[in-house]
Amino acid sequence: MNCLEARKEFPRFWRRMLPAAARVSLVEHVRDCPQCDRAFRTFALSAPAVHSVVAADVMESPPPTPLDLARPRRPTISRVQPRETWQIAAVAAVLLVAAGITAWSSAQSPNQNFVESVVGEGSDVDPTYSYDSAENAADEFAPESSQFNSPSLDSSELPNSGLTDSSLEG
Amino acid sequence: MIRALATKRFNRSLTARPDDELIAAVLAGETADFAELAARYRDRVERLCQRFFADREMVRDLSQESFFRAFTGLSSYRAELPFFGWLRTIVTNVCYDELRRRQRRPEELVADFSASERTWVQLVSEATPEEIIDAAERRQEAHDLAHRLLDSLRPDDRMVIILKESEELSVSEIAETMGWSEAKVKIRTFRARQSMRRQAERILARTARGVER
Repeated sequence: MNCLEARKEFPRFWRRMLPAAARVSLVEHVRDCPQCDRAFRTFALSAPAVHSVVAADVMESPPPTPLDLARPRRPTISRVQPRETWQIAAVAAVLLVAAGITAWSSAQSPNQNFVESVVGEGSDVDPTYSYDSAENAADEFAPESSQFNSPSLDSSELPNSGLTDSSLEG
Repeated sequence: MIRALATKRFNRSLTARPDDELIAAVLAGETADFAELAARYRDRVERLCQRFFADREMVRDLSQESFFRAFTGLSSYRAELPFFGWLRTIVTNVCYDELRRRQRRPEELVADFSASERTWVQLVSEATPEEIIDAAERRQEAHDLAHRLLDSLRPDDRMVIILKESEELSVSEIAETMGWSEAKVKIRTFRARQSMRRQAERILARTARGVER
């Protein structure tokens, strides 16, 4: 028996399905060949799961009937959390931290309004400035009727551009 | 009452009726006949699930899930194919989905061994082939470690190793079951074997180093 033949027979040897003569031959080869000896030991580590004959002793209960199948079943939940769950949890954690930082910074200076926080205390801009007060001040200098109307244009006041009806016709 | 009737019908129908006849009956509304189909293939379905998962509860769940999918999708079964071939595709997909859900990094799995697992690896390193096989049949840790070794593979690799080595399917059968090309099956098989061998060698080398110390 050569190395190739010996290694090919490992699964049948493990399952005790090899004829006695071939079994003896394989054992002798493995004993004399360090490479195949190593290969067998490597094989033996996975063989109990991959190459053993599995006994179906899992369910002692009777086989499922259609009534059993129609019943709501316990979902097959893996013991390990799915990868997507971790990603969602990571995003949620980042959002939580961001919200916490925002809340903390606002709690540090409760009286500071938005304008102060933007322009700073040393700025020339009056922090008490508000749009309403500026608008009211402007109203005092403008006649009420013309508040939002542009002044009426008289065509005679426009400079002569040299274009007349007759020049266009000519 | 209904269950008793179903059991009675099930017992009566145990005289071998062909799969096709049972399937036709289930599709015609005789849903209780599905119990006979399930009984006929339960062992094979469980054995296949056990190839992927050591946990008995998980095997039971996956087996149940497979039969449920088979029952609800029975109308898609084509009679010209063997029923178990169709059922095996369902079981394989159920197990594959579960493997992908619980995918873990290889380094998590072969990092720490229990004392009994170390003893087992020690025995594998030193005993004769016959002694190793005898011991493997008695030792639960041999199965546990082998499953951990399988757990270290990617789901694709693990599928292909189980279907090729344990179920002894051909490349074309695996390709059909998984919906892959034959080239992909061959490449996956090669890489899976390589990866598992590498992991096993790491374990043996670690044990040898441990002994030297």
